[in-house]
Amino acid sequence: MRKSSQMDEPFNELNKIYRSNRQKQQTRHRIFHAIEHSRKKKRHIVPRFLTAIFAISACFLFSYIMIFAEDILEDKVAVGSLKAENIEYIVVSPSLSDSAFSAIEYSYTKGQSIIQDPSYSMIVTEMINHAKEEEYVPVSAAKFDIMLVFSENKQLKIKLWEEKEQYFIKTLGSEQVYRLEGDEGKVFINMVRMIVPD
Amino acid sequence: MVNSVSDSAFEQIYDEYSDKIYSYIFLLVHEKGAAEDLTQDTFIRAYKYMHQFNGESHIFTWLIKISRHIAIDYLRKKNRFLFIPIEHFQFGSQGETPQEIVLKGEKIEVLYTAIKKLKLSYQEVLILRKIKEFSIKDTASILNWSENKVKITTSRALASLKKELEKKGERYEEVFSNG
Repeated sequence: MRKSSQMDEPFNELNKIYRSNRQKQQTRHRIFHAIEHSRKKKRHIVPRFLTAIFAISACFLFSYIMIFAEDILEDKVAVGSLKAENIEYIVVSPSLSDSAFSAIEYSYTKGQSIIQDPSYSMIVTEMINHAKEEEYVPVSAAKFDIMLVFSENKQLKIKLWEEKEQYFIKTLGSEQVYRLEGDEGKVFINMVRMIVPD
Repeated sequence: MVNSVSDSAFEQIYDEYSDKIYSYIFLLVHEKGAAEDLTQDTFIRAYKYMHQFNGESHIFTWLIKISRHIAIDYLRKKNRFLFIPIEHFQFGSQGETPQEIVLKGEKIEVLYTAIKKLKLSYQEVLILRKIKEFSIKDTASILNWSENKVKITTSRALASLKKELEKKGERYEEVFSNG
């Protein structure tokens, strides 16, 4: 950290905000109480946690067998595995490059917006859940970077392409491209353009 | 919580840095009670994720990063904003100046109020660079910016602060003089 000059004196004053010792000790007590409580809880949770893992594994195995069986029996077309529900808010940003992701909250990318609106979240949820796996790979540059934030701060990061009124998305860290349903993609991109210039 | 730090070592960390974390959060949220609660949340989260601290940065820088996320999350939930370009967002531009600041005298109160009027990115960079005296490198790491962006934004933030002070009828030089 650098040394302060006389010019920085008023700033230095703001670095010192009075906090009583009583306040400090009370918070310390609450922190260690929370840590201890969490330790105890964890000890009790372990067996249930294992049970849950077995249950989830069993469900997964069962559904895998069922999907596989259905595909064989009905020649069913594979449906995209993207799923979105309970979106709390959406961070949208113009995409700066295909190799970087700019919709990081509070990174202050020019044009970045945070959208916290149930009706908007509903449109995006439907759009994501209806997206279909696609073999085509977009050749143009991505238009927007979108981060969907769900409850408990879970996130889904998406890049969006627009090519000849077709809309494609890809989640970060995956090569699988999804195509959006025509109208849903268009509605979404028009709404985004109202608030984020591309 | 599985952890790589003993309780006594963590208590030492708390004793050494909690006041600094508190003052940082206070400058972002402008409320004593909320700053104390968010300081508590910061240390609980730090304890939980202590095994992820790899020593690449100073522990204070790491704690500031955690507290920044917690404070901004708090402000976001409190303000419930919608369709607002984040770079233009202003937090807490309303309301009275907290007693802790008033007691520091008129000049400091004027500076505090002027900073509070700036857009969020300017507030953040001034708090980190000028008030908390973080290096350009650490500030870049905390804000997830490039070092160049930190330099440019700091100088723009200072220019904007100067304008804000002048708007209030305060001469920049007077606020920053030693008298």
